[in-house]
Amino acid sequence: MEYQLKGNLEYARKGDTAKAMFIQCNEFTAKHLSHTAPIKQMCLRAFNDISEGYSDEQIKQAQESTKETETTGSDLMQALYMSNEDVSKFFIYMKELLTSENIAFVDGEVKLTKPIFDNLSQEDVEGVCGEYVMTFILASVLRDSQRQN
Amino acid sequence: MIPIANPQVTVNNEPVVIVPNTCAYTEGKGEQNVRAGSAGGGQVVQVVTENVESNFSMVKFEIYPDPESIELARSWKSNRNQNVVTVSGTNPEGKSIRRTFNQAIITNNYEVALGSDTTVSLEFQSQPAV
Repeated sequence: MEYQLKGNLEYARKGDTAKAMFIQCNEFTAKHLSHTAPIKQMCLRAFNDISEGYSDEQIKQAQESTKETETTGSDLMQALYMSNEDVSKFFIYMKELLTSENIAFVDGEVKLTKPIFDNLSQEDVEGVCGEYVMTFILASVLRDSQRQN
Repeated sequence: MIPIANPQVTVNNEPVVIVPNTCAYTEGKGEQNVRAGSAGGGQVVQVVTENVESNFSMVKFEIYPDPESIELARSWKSNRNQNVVTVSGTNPEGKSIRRTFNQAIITNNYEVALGSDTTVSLEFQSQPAV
């Protein structure tokens, strides 16, 4: 997965400061389950939270109308913010995950470290976290729900 | 007005654990001289010169001699001037500074003293701080 940065991000590369263009992310492994499991739990709870209060008929109609369009990372972030979940915990887990070994690389070559992550704009933090979750962490759930639909 | 006493130092994007109160740097603005120029009638004018030979930044700090830090220092030394050091800090009032030192090279032949109360002193020279 490749996330194109929207804000300014500078990082050290070969002795000079470079402007980052994108973050390349690799799929996590079982080693990262202690971070990915709570993230998945939070996201599923968030989707559940926002579907509460709607009748089955309304949910079915919404599913029908959005059948053609995919749920995006930004939809996920919106759901999280609107739910009862503690979004700050979500970002703490995501930071730990994205800055662990072999997960994320700035411009595809320099490891995304905590100091680099701390310099990301809010828009980019939400963007990369949302896309990562949709691409890798919720992938299996999304596949299953598409099959059911 | 509260000084910054606990800066964060990173080298090549990785945070470094340093010995408190050991981080110092120069801005790399060089030395400037002021000499007097005689303008006649008892008047003098300032003649300002800049010694660009000293337009490099220095950044130094100390680390503890744990194996991980010793290996890191060794890799920075091997990188020659292919290091980037950043120093940033925020005081309790929320005011902050951040300086980046590009093309930083460890210039001192640092001594790794192994002991319970010893430290390793590293001194980098780099392009002027930005």
